Amino acid sequence: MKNLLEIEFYMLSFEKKVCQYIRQNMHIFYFAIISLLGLAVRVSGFSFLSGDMKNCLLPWFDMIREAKCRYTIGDYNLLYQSIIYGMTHIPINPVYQYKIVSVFFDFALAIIVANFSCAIANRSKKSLTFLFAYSVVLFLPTVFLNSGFWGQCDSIYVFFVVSALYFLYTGKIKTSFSMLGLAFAFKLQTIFILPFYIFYYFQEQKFSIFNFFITFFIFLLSGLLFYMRGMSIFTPITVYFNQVGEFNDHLYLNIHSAWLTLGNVVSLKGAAIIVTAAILGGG
Amino acid sequence: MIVHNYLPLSKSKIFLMSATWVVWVCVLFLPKLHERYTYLLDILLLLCFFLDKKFLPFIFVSESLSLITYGGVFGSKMIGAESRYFSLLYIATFICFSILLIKERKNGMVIPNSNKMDKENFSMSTCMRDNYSIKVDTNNDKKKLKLCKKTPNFNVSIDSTILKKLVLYTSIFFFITHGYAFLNSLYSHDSLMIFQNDGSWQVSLGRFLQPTYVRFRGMITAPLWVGICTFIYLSLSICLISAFFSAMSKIQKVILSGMLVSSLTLTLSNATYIPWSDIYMLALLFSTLGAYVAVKHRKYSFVSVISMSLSMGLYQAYIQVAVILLMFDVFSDVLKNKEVKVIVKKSAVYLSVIFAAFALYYVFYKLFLHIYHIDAATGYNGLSKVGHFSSIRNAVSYFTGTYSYVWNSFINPISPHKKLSVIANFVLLATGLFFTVFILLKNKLSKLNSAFVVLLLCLFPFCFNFIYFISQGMEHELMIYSFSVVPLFLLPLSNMIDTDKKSKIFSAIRIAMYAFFAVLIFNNVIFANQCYVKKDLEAKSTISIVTRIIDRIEQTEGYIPGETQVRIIGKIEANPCIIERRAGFNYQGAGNSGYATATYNIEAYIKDYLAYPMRFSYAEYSPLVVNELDVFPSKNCTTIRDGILYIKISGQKENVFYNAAAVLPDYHLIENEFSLCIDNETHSDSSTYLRGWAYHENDICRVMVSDGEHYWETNLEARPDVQKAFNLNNDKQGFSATIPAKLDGYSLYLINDEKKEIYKIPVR
Repeated sequence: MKNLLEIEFYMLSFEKKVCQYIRQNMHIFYFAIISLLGLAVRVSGFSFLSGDMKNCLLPWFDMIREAKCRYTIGDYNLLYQSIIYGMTHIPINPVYQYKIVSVFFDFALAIIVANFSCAIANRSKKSLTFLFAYSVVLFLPTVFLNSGFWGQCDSIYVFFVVSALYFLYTGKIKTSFSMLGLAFAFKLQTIFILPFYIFYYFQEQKFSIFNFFITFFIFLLSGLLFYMRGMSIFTPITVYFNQVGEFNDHLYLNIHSAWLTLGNVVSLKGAAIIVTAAILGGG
Repeated sequence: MIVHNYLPLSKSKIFLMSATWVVWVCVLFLPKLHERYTYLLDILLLLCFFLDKKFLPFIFVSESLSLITYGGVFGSKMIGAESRYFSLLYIATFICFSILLIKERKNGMVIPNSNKMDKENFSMSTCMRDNYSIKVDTNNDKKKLKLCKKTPNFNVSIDSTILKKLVLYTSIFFFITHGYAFLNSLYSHDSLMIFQNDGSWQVSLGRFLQPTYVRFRGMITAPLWVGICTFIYLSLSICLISAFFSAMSKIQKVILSGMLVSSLTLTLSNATYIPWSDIYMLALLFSTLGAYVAVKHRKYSFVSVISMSLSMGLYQAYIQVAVILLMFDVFSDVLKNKEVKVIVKKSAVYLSVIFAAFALYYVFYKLFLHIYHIDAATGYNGLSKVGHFSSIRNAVSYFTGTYSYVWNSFINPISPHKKLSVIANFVLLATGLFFTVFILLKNKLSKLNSAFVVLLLCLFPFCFNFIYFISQGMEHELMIYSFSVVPLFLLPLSNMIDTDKKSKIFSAIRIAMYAFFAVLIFNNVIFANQCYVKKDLEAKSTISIVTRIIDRIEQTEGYIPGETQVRIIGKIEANPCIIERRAGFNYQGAGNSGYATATYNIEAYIKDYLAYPMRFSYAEYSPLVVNELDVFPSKNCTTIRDGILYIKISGQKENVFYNAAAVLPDYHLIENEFSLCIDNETHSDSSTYLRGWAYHENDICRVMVSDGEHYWETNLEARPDVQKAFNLNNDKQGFSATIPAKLDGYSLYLINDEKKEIYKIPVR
């Protein structure tokens, strides 16, 4: 027994190869594991039914199936409605379908943010910077709660906005403006980044203002399915005009807006826009 | 900040920070946003963090606050007013981020690409503007441009010697012009409110800083202390204004001080509105400071914006001084034949500053109304009419009225020697035009610049009196301090003429100009002193009469001091003992046209000024009582009815409860426009009980009853039966009221505060 205990177990060549392979491809393993964990945390929320899901997204799902892209439903723009229409043909629980689309863009967002981080830090895509950024985005609570639990699709437009910025930074102007158009096709909030493009235009003088037509063209193109079924080419614009008319009784709603300090003084809406314009103008 | 200083946006950190900053501004300040709008911001802040660890606190705060808003979706409460501290934290974090961006900007400042921008232009505009100079490095083979920080070199700076002299001249003029007002207690009219506790009223009028300032200065109106404060603010303002006028001679400094100190506006303020004299001068100080910073330190324009909005928060009308000073700066540039491009750019900056100041003021105003839980005043002096023109024709009429007001003040000045003042006004105007034309020809102004001169000359009267336009004629002498500043532009104009020639004609013109300035100052000083003496004499005569009125009340049989209620009928200023004008006095100007110290509120005079313990009744009284009494000092001027002592002091009725304008807001009146039903109408000898319902569409309205002379507000009641019967959105149709009079005929008024409309139906 004593002799048996004194036997030393040396690492086998097979083990060495495995370890070596793992060490050499550590980043891939890490990427895979963290992706699986990211997926797991999202899947754990798939059964959660948010108020928005119950009251808006699911009813819209049924209505969009009926509407067949002949008219608009809800307040999403045409591209997302086209995606939902595509989903209606897949025999999977619509709650899961909504969340799967958003989760897919979560991963896409994590990758583009990681890429961008490497670009700005002059690091390789195999570096820790990439993995760190990828992991942080994937496990950022507001990101995984938004898609996996809530069923919202903010990751989609943010993915396109960050992509647009990434391509702008790397000098691929046309791609950048195309991405901006796609972001606009999903959410009006894309407009938040527009002043930066204007600043960039004046400051760097690297592109023509006519590039904005690319954005506009892509934005209009996003409703192709609807146009083929008789909708006006201006429908994507009117959808956003209708959205602007929402929440008229609120200066802010469940957000830490600067105006929260004053209370819901609805009459300040005009002033709020002027103040924003003034600050941006100051910028 | 981003474009202005040639930020190298291609630099990774500035690229990301700028993009994040822009999104942050939108998220923080745009209206109608909800949770999830911060998503993009969080991701961008994360990117900043990947670039530099110092951004960790920013992403931590932003992500945490976003997460709190997610709580509403996952079962917690949505965030409400209790989260305002988080909101403040968010603002503070944003400010820190902005500061970091500014610092980053300074570190990364570069000269723009020479292929794309003319370096000479850059050196002239950018560098001069930002206090940088360009040096040419000749040591190298290739000439290189270097940016070097240089010390500020302003065209006009405030020299301490000049400052001392100005303060000396100001103190001399201040003492001889206004000394009397501050060394005597001349409380009258509005200033009878010796304990200045009208904060809520002032906030509702948009002068939201007054309560704060008064608490700091002291709420009791002590004339000497108010005078000292007034003097300090005025002196500082004069020093700032002098900075706009370069190379002034000694006599010009004397004229500058004299004109600004002896201003009619200041005199009338001191005479009747002494509790606000220092407030007005503080408003002037903020206004001039705003203009000064905008002209001399343009990159700190935000200070101008804040300063001007503070000025309006004290008293709105002084903003005209800032506007006219900025306009003068543009005007002098035009006369110096500067490039139109430069002039237009400068004008645009100034306009932006002014508009931003108005926007900030509006935000502050709403904030204070909210904090104090006060509604905006809609009547006299209120802001409800500002900028709301009923039609283009209406706007045009006020536009022309703005010029007419200036012209009337010009040809009909308030002065003890009116003709002399008119002559002085015309001579100074002619001199100004002569100087302008001379400079225009001498400097060989381009056609565009000449057109600019004509345009500015046409706009001048509007710009120093634009409050008349936006307030739709709601202007009086307390609001026109800018009128005293305008003639002073002649001083720098006269200096712009080449003095090398030492022409006798120009010397003569200058001397004549100084002489007519002296005439104006001389008249102003006389008027001020006469005005104060008038107030003093009125105070004495009023106290004499009111003492006798009190004596008459005390002598009335059955009157028990401090117990019997006293109802004063009429107005003291219409009493025959006081109505006779004093011979030789000039009765003009705001608060200066009356004959008595106590004007609209004799009760306040007795209670607050004399501190006499009298119980007043404000009840409605029968016309029979009015008819059977004679006016004081007649013997039959008092009577006691139902335990109330009535004393008639004039045939004119007091305003309270009789004036529709005092009760009904100034809204659009529409007749026979609503449905109503009187369910119950019960009369007694002295009262009428009314109950019913009335509605106009789905609007929520106040209901008032009027017999054509009096106005009573009713109590609103819920009427679900009416709502159901007429399929309305709300149940706010019911009303009831006990009217303290027997109504023979009456009308019903529905006041729609939302649509600013009044609907009227004569009921009986």
